[in-house]
Formats: sequence, structure tokens, C-alpha cells
Amino acid sequence: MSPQTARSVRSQLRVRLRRRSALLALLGSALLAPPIAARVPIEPIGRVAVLDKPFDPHWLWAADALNARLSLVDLDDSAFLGQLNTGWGVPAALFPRSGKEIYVPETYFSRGTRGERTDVATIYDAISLAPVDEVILPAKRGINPLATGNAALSDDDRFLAVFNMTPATSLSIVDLETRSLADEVSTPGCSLAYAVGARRFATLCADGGLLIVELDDAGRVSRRIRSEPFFDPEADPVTEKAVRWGDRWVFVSFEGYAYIVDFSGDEPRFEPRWSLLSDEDREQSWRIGGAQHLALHEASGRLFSLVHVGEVNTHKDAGTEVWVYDLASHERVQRIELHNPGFTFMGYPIKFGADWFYEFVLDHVVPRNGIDLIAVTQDDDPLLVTGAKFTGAVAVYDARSGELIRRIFTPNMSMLGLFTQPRRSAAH
Amino acid sequence: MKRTRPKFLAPAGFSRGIPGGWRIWSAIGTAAAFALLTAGGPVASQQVAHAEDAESSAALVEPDPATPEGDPTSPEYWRYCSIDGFLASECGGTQTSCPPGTLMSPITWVGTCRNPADGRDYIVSYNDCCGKGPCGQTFVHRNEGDKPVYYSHKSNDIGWCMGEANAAYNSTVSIVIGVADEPAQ
Amino acid sequence: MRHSDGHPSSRAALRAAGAVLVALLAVASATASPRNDYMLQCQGCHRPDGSGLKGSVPDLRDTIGRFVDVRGGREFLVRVPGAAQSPLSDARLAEVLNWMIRTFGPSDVAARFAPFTADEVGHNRRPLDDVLPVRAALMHRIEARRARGQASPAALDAPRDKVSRSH
Repeated sequence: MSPQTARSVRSQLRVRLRRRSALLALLGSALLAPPIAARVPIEPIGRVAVLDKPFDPHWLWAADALNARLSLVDLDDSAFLGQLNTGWGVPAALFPRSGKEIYVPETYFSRGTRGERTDVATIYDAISLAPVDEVILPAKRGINPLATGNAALSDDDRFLAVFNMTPATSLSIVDLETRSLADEVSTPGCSLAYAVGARRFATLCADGGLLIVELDDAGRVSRRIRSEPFFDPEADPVTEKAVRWGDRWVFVSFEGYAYIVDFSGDEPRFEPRWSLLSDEDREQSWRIGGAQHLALHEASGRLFSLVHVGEVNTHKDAGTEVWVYDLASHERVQRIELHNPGFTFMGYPIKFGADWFYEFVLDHVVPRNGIDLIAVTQDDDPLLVTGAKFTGAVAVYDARSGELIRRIFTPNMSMLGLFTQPRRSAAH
Repeated sequence: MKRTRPKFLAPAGFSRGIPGGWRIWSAIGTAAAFALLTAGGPVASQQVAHAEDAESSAALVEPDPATPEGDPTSPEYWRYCSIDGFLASECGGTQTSCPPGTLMSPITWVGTCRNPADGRDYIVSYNDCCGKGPCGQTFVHRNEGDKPVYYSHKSNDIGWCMGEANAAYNSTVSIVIGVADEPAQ
Repeated sequence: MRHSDGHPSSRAALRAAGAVLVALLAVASATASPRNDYMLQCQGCHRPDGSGLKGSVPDLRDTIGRFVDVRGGREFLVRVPGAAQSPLSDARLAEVLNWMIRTFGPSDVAARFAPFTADEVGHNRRPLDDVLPVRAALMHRIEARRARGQASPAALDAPRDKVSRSH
């Protein structure tokens, strides 16, 4: 074939191929590409979710010391909303009334388990859950498994008091407005911190009394008040796990006596103690006990107390019931029998079979291991939350009827603190 | 079920003073049996400090549990009467020495336990071993004579890794440092 | 002890018996050994040798005895919260303080100081709630004594059973 002919043949072939391709493309597009718009929009890379509000009365922060974090769960729909990672010890969250931030004192070592120690008060944005600031603290925070008492926020949200132990005890005072350390207050023979006023903190002393420190506008100590002992630390000490009732704090002793302290005046006023346990209860060996064994619903003045049957020295043992008291009358108004919240392993739920079957097994087959922690939400439809130290599951009850509402699995591997939101007025 | 030494598995991130208060032997057994119905994983068990568990702790180590002092691997062993922590003796150390590579806390609290073998009260120092993460072996939390954190020299909840041992908590020893007198007045 | 066979002798015998009884009681309370009390109530923070922890627990060695030589020092030793708030009775706390001075020194003080008594302890036993400034002031006095070359206690510093003014 001559070159001319070949070129002509090739060009004819190309035309034919083009025509065929076009025909095929037309057919193909008719078959393979239906004539409607793409449904899935193109999405941006890099977005990070935020909470849709800074707080909700039915949100729970659950402290997990094994994972060094606080988990946020919605008690109404069981959703896991986010977490804060928080260093060594049992993390505790403190909530200002503005609700805009969350404060967590944290401890870190430069080489993980050793090395240079750094303690910080971390400030988290309540909506983004991102750390937005920190104040370096003296690296001597007291490390212990208490959910409350290791730090306190002054009632005006201005100052944070962090409990130190070297073993000498003191409070580091953080000015949250200037984001700096304002003072360190030596509190020899006294420990922990409870907010008892706009600029006042109370510490518990080994003699059974209180040391109260008042701060000036700069966060420096302006006044110290040492009270007389209000309980006998040798015979029957109060636990550190006190709960707040407006201007008052409720302390409960190993033997089940309630000591209410009124801080509304210049000096603390000690109400006469009263017993949470009747003579009959004591005969049956009912005792208070638990890791976080008290909760208080401020608006209704109801005290919730975790109890079990046991011998002396069981003040940290798990409970089987919650007894509810009206604080005005000192009467027990309710006994709530507690359910097993469920089991998790390494954060994973252990759940099997149908719901009815699973609940039957939890309630009637497996032995009751007991509840170590209780908390109550502060709204007008309060929920009672219960947890046990080595499961991520919590049980949620209607705090007024005592009825079990639901069980929630959190991804926690341990449960060492339950934190609900403080009651906030409409203004916030 | 083959009786293995019960363990509480505590991954990194743990710090001081998590009490191990309950036992889930049969719960775990039941759950494991029904795990076939779900995607449940292996289950853990833990040793707890209640009298009824005395017979459940396996005698896998040399000390003879028939001795009057009891079984040092059991939470009911006499000198653990107010311990709150992982037993150093199960973590590479002994009752009186910390595991390799850790530091013994110089600051501690001191309690008293009764030895059933001779009926005497002994003074026991519960120093913490620090600088490594939580050991994860047998955890014992008993509270005889324990006081709250503000009564600090009798509190087992306090993390005692202070001073030269200002580091993470690993385990706890129980050192006999004296023979007690009659009870304090 | 002589046999009593008549009035004067029986009175003597009663006195002797009384003395023996008092001695026995003294021995009984002394078996609550101060060393054990130190171990149970103090040693956890102050350490077996009294060396404490630099920066937070003071070193008692060769130091604790010096407090009894300065005005306010004896009261201070009773009022530090670890002492004042301990569960020990006044008598046992006194014995522990005496034991600590004898054990930790300095030895010249240990040899001559007037021991604490239950009365003195009872009168002074209110816990200080701000220890560091008080201690600093006392250390200042101690140093001043040392600078003046004083080795023996001044009359001013003789033990008193009265409550002194609080600092």
C-alpha cells in the first residue's frame, strides 16, 4: 500500500473509531450515567465538632483514672459527647457558674511515670472541649482518689484553690481572671479545700476542726479562722466526701452521723449532729460507705447516702442501697435499691442477648458487686447516677421515684468520680 | 475453670489509690458463658479483700498457707490489714523491698496489724514504690484503722510518692518496723 | 520492805506499798514506749532518723533540742500540729518530745534540759495554724544565741507551766 493510501486508510480508520467511540460513549453514558445530579456533596477535610451548648443539667463527666481522662456522656440518650485527658491521679472537673469553661488540675511527669513533675490548672473551653489556657502550679498537688476536695472554685468563680501535700499541706490559689498564681497558703495539720463563700475556702483539720481562709481581691490571704473541733477524729471521723447545700456543707461520719456546717456568717456555725441510721438500722449493721458516697439535690434539700451492711472499717466499701433524707426534717424519706450497672472490660461493654435477658442476668444471676459512687443532677427533673469503680457502666435512676431508667456504657475502664453540673439560675 | 492467679489488669495511666473492692468471679464466669451470644471479649477477674475470698486465693507460691501467719499472697494476710495498693511482693519486689527500678517513698504512713500467729500487734510501714506505672498485680484495699486524708498520718488513700520519690505510683510494701505497745490512751 | 508488826511499821509498810504501786503505774505507762509512739505518729513524715524531707519536713537532727533554749520554743514544740493534733495523751506526748530531744539532740541539750511534763503539754496544746513564720522567728532566736556563744539556757528560758502568749 502506498504511503498516501495508508495515511488515507489510517485517517478513515480514525474517523470510524471516533464515530464508534462517540456512539459507544453515548450508549455508555445512557446506560452507566443516569441523568440525575450527584447526591453526596463534596465534604471539607479538617472539621472538628463542638458541643451544641456549654453544659446541660443531664450531662455527666465520669473520671477514669486508668485512662487519665474525664468522659462526657448524655444521661438522657446515652451519647458519648467527648473527653478531657487529664494526667495522673483521679481527675476532677470544676465548673464556673458562667458555664463557659471547665477547670481541671492536672499532674504530668516529663518521662511519663517519672522525671520532672509539672502541675497545671488547665482551662478548657466548655463548648469546644479544647484546652485554651493553663496556669502552672507548684508541682505538689495532693494525689489521692478523692473525687471532690482536692480543689475548689470560689463562689464568685474568681479563684481556684488546689490542695497540696509534700507532706506539708497548703493551698495554691489561682487567679482565674489574671490566669496566674496568686498565693500559696500554708495549712499545717489541715487538708483539702471546700468552697464556702465568695472568697473563702475551708480545710479539714486533724483535730476535728476547720481552718477557713479568706482571700482579698488579689487572692492573698486576708483572714484565717480556726474553728473548734466539731467532730471527734479519733472516735468517729467525718469522711472527706462532703456535699454542698447552699451556704451549708453536709459531712457524714464513719458511723453515719450527719454534721451540717453553716458558712453563711462570719464564723462557721455547727448544727447539732443527727444520725442517718436508726437504732434498728444499726442493729442490722447498716453502714455508710463508698468512694463517692454522698449526693445532694440542692433545690429540694434531699441528701442521698450510699449504704451497705457491714462491720467497722467498711467506710470505703461498696453500697447496695441509697437512702434519701429530707434535710429539713432529718427524716429518711426513701430507700432506693440499687441495680448492677453492667460490666465493661477494657472499656468495651459486656452485653449479651436480648435486653430483657441481659437485665435479668444483671439483676438476678450475677452477684451484686455494689456501687461505689453516686451523683445527682441539679435540675428539677433530677437523675441519680450510680457507678462502680471498675466498670464503665453507670445506672441512671429517676432521683424522685427511685426507678431505674437506663444503663449507660461509657468507655471508661475505671470510674472514680461522677460530676454533674451545678445548678445555674436562668441568668446564666 | 483452671484456677489461675487472679489479676487486676491496670494499663498505663493509673495512679494512686484505686481500691479494689469487689469480686466478680461468678459474674465473669456467667458473662463468659454467654459471650458466645455477643462479640464480648475476654474477661478479667480480680482479687478482693473480703474474708470469704480467703479460700479462693490459690496457693501458688512457696509460703505455706497452713502456717499460722497465713498466706502472704492472700489479701487477708495479716500485715495487709490497712494496705491500699498493689502488693510489691507480687510485682517483682518483696514485702519489704520495692520492685526493681522503682524508688521507695521516704514519706509514708505507719499502721498497726495483729499477727494471728502470736496475737501481737506489729507496727507496719506502708511505703509506696514509685517511678514506674501501676503494677497491675494483686490489689488489696483494707481499711483497719484507716482515717480520712486530713488525718494524714493514718490515711491509706494518700499517694505517698513524695520527696525523692515524686513520681508515679507502682506498688506498696508492708514493712514491720516494731512491736506495738498496748493501744493508745 | 519490812514486815509490819505494829502501828508505826504498818504505816511505813503502807507508804512503801504505795510507792511500789506508783512505781508500777509509772512503769505501766512507760511501756507505752515513746519510741513506738514516735514510729506510729511521727516517723512517717519525720523519718526514723529525724532527717525529714528537704523543703517540707524540717530536719530535727541536732536541731530540735535547741528550741527549748529560746523563749517560746518549748510551747512551739507542743503546738506544731503534728504534736498538738496527735491522738497521744498529754503524758505520752510529753514523753515523745523528751525522747525526740534525747534521740535527735543536740546531745548537750539532751543532757540538761528540763523534761516536758503532762501539765506543760496540756496547758499549751493548741495547734498553730501558721507554723512557718513562728518557726522562722524561733530559728532566728536560736541563731542569735549561737552567735552570742551561749551554751547554757538563760533564766528567761526556764520551763513554765503557764500558757504563754500566742504568736
